[in-house]
Amino acid sequence: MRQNTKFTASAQLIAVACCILIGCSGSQDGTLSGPRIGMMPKLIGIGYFEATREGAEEAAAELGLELTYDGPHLDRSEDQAQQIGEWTTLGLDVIAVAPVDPEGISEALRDAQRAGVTTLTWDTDANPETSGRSVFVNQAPNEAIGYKLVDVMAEGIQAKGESLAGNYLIVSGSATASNQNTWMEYMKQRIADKYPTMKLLPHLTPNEDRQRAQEQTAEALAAHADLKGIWGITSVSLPAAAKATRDAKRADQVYVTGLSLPSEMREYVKDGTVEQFVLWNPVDLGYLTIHVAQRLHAGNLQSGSQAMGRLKNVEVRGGEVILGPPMIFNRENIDDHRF
Amino acid sequence: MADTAVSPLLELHQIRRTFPGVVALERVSFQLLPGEVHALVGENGAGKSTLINILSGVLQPDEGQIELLGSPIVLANPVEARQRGIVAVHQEAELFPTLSVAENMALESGLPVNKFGLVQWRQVAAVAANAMSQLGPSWRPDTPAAELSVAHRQMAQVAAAIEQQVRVLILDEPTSSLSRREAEWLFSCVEALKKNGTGIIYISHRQDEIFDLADRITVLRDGQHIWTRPVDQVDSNGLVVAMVGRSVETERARPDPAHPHVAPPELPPRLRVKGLRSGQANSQPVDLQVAPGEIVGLYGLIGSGRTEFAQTLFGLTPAVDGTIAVDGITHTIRNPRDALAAKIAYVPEDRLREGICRHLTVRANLVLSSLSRWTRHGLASLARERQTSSDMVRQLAVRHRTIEQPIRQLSGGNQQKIVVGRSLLTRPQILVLDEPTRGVDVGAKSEIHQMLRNLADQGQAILMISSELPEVMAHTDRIVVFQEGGVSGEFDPSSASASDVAEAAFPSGSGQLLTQTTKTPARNKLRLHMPVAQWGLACVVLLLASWLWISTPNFDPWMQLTHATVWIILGLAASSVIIAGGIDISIGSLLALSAASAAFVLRLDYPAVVTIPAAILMAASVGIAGGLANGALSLVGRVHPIVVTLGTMTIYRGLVIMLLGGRPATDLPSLFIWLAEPQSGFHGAVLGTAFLACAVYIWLQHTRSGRHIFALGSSPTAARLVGISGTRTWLLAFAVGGGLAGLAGALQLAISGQMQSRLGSGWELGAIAVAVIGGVSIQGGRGSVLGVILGALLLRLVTSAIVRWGIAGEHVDLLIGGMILAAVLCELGWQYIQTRVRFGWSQRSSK
Amino acid sequence: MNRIDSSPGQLRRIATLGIRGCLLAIGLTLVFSQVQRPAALVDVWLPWAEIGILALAMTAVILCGGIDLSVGSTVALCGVVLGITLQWQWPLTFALAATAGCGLCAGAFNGGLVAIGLSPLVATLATMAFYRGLAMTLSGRERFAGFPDSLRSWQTVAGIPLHFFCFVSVGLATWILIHHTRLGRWCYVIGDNRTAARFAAVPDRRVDLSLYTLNGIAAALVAVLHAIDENVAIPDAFRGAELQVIACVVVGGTLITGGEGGVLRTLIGIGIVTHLEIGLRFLSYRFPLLTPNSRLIVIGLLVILVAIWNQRLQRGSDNA
Repeated sequence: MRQNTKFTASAQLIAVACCILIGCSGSQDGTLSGPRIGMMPKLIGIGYFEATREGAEEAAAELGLELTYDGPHLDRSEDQAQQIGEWTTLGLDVIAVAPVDPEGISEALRDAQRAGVTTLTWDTDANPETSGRSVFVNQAPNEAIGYKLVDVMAEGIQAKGESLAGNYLIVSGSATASNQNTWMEYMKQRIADKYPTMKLLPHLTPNEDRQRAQEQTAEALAAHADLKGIWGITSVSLPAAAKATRDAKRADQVYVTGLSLPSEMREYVKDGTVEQFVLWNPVDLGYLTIHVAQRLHAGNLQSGSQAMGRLKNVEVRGGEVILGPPMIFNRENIDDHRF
Repeated sequence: MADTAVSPLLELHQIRRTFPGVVALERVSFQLLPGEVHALVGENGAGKSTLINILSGVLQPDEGQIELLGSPIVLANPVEARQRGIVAVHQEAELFPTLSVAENMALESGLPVNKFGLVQWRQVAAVAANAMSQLGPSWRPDTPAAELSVAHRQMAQVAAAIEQQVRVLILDEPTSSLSRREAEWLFSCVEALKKNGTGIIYISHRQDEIFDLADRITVLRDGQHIWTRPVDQVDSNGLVVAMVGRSVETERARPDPAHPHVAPPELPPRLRVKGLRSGQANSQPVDLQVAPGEIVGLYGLIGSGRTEFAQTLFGLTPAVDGTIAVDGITHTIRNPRDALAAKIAYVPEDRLREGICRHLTVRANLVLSSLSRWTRHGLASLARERQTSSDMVRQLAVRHRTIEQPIRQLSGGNQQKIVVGRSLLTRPQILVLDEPTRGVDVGAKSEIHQMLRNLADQGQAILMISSELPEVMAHTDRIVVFQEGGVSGEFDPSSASASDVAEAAFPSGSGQLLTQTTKTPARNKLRLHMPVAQWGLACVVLLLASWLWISTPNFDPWMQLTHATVWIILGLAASSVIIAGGIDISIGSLLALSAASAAFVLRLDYPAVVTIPAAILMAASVGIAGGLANGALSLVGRVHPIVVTLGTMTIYRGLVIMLLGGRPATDLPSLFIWLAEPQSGFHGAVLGTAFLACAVYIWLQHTRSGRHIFALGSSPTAARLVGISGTRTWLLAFAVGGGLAGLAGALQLAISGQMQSRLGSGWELGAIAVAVIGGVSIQGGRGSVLGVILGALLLRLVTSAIVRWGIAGEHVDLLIGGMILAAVLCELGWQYIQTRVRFGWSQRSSK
Repeated sequence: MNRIDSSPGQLRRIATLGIRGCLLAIGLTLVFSQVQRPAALVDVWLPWAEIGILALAMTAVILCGGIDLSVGSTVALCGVVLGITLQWQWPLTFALAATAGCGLCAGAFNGGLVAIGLSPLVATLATMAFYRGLAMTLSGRERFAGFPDSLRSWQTVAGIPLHFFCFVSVGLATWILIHHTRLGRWCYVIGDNRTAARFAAVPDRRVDLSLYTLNGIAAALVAVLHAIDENVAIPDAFRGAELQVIACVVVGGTLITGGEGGVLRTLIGIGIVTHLEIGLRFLSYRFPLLTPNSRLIVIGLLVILVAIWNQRLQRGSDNA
């Protein structure tokens, strides 16, 4: 028993020491001059958001800003809302969020604004009316992405000399992701306008789970012998769809394309399962977000086409900042990008 | 026969053993000769059980020495005792309920294994069949022990003990629940063993048995050795005097001034019971009347129906038949609340298990049954509780420090007083006490008796159950004797002799009982056991698979199997822990951690031939390490594994994110991915899983350590008694579970070709679902590899059908939840039916 | 023997309390040393108040030897019910009643499963998936946003957030329930020794049923609070919240096996978990060595160590 008391006493001593240490370290002031920016991805620990972090850190170093890049480890909207609150108390000046749910963080953003924080969204927009965010840093116009996805598929199939008629499948991420839903709307619109022979099957929502996406795609491949093409429209679904198609040895009949990261698609592009796919540059997106945040805080974000840092042609219009048109990745250029 | 010139087989010198507050054995010496039946007699609490436990290695003496064949030995655990040929058959047979009778028998002596370490099931079955052939045709070695009646459990244990090479056999009340015919079989066994030179220590309350069988008798009283004499120098009365310490007759002869003896006849009976029948298999209608101020002793052997009668009276087991009237008003008693409302209170027999809440305070234990009296407007009043408790504690002369101290700190007698006090606080008119003085020291004993007399004088009717004849003779106004589920006689202690009462209780001389055997449960009619459930599962799986096959143009069974493999392995991982009685909710994170470490190894700059085996090894070892950490933490901290794995789940997930640095693991060697590709023609995933499942099957079914996992999950107490190391087995189960989760991680890595840090989050739910659907009992001790495989296939096919039907993914959760619910509800319903079949449809199943 | 036992027990209690106090102090120091806009702390505390309400209700369930893994799913399900009924243009009172009814039914279903003899772990694990699936199916995976002003105007009452009132009143209610009512006494008894409780005429099944039902109602309350505060009900919300809830209860010092613990301990536990988690996050921004992921490891270790501490020291005396 005596031993226990001794242990307790020492534990308490250590604890108190820690408190003092932390208390001291807390009182020191940051040496950086610019605004303190917090940038929050949907979740930490996936490749896409690691790439955006890289760009953000590059811009922060360039501008001499203090950057905090953190997010929930599961894509939970309430975690994001909570973290926005924490960042507000921490005294950050600008908070840039990629919301998991377009409505889920509106109130949290409002609260932050009331405390004097400038808020903006990136990657995915929050509802502009309810959230009151200043600006949305958009990787590319949704319309352009949706159209591009359909065009890439159509051109790819036509280039092989085949007809477009047949069944097509979209593997999305989760059913609540608003940007994915918007892209799908534009995709349907484009198909109806330009390629009426393409027939869409009900889309799959594997809930951003790699294993589930692969299983469900494999299932759909088995169920539809005449499947012509698959879009995987998240960085999780496209590699999963490619793997499932390759496993089913249907890569020559089924045209797979969509949105993903070059680093995750390299092997499928190289072995020919996927000929080409669409994405913007996530490093640039992170880079741009920080630049926009800094300008917003300084109050000098003007409309129109302009250069921001190393990005020469950024368009600012009506509450949106647009990175540029989406890029196409194929066998030739896939090794040029690190992300 | 007992020739003193023969050197003793077993000798105890000056054995002393104390428990907190009690001296159980005070320098007891004892000698057992070869070929001797040595009867050990004494009242309850005289130290017999302690002595047996020391001899069988369950307890260690504080002082003294044990000598076997002249050389001193130390019996550190039951296994050592068994290895030296000392075998004990305990009164309340501890069995592994989910395991078969044959295996139960074999576990007693350690499962026989061949030179490859595999269990020799043939030998197990042969030994069991051999032992059972003597018992009768209704015995089947593959019956789960849970389906045996108490008598049959005991017989099985005796049979198992006899099959071993025994030097010393200890029989503790072996006939207490046996019928005459079964007892005769036992006696013939004893005679046969005697001829082989086995020494037998025989403990019994039945004097006729002792005088028939024993060569010598040793009497213990209050932990002390009174005497040892050859049987022909002892008579019945002398034995009783030695046991009790004074003559029963003399004590009763003492005039008792406050003894109303017989209630005035004009008073209506306080309690009138007519034709009451409990749900027990052999119960018979009981009629009983108790007058105010009367103490009625219910005497009988264990299993004679007296406790069942009392519990039926108190509503713990609902009555099949009959009426209960208190003060002339008939009450329907369905549960203890009804009984309390009818002013009937009950003091249970097993104080530790049924009586006290060890960690709660004296006050909380006292006011437990009468809380409504201290509650006003729904609020409990601490002040009034304290006041009442202090009063009651004073009234009962409980030795304590404060009423706010935990009751576990009190001595047994004082704990018993608290339990009695709890009943008194309900202001009962009828007080039923089941063995109120068991395990209580002498002083407290007489205090309790005095207290009962005082209560009776205040007009309460008291029913006192006891298996101590002197107690019943001395302290009651009337004795009702129970035997074979019904009342066999009524006596006035002032006029009847002890031997008359005893004769009515022992099913010995009475001729009509010779033909009656203990009722065999009607289990042969309903032998739908788990295999049937498994067949049903298999049918569902087959039907679903064939429907999918027909309706899907490109149905690829290999692909289906490949995608099921991870779930099979993960399900097995969850099962191995659940069977041992634990649970591991960190396996999803552990899978990811193993996969991440495997990916780390795979991406090292070495040829694929080197890295692939290294990676698989790495995944397995990371898994084993993680599993071991879970098991060890829960053992060391004595914390429920769900808490530990709740913590490690987050920890492992954090490590995964750190290890991957946030990036997905890609660019794995193509050979590694090819291994698991369903179209490669090699089917590495399926083959590997099949191999693994076979290995797990062999381990679980055919090795000692595997069977020990089942034993531990089935009954930790019994496992301790037969000397299975709980620590080692527990750790092994967690290590195997972790290792399997690790391998599942490596497999998943190969199947997807890359991994992200959230891999496996939430998969523990699926894994447990697979296990439960596959028939693994969440209480531990039951499950099979085949069931788990079927469970995984079912889950796989159902998700596949969902996509076929075009139902969106959100229904997957609904389905998984529904399937777990359905599976466990089926299991529960099945258990319910089994209990009903065994004990009749009236008895409430206990949790 | 019995009498000497007291002083170590006293010491042990003080030591345990001391450790808790230290943990709370560390957490608070970590948070407050970094805070620049103290006024905004309210917004940080609100979500934790929701977890706290769940933890308070869960304390009773755990005391009684049970566990409810389905709380997170129940909250989501209740939120969806609130969203749907309001979408159907039900009057607010009816919608709230439907939400409460949903929580009640979900809780009672859990309680019923436990009362008929299922292991609480398995029963609520199954309903966790089941309720989540129900929430997803009912909502079609759509969120419900834009709750009527009649509901949202409750966000603050007299300038103080409604969460605060609810947390305090739930705390008070559970405190009274657990420490001052018959039901509360029964919780401890059942958690300590269920057989003895049954022999003492405690209606254990009814207690199970009512505790899980109350837990469900608390979940409904949290769903409403969440809707008021965040103006959104997401079928995917509160995934994994049960783990935070259990962590609060366990860290507070209530034994996971039941029979020992209390509301005050849970309150301390809520304080510790809340502030340590926030504080560690803040700390990780200052010291790059502490990546945000190491926070997970620290919280996991904390739960295990405190649980072991509880078991070993509070019950240390009777490991015979």
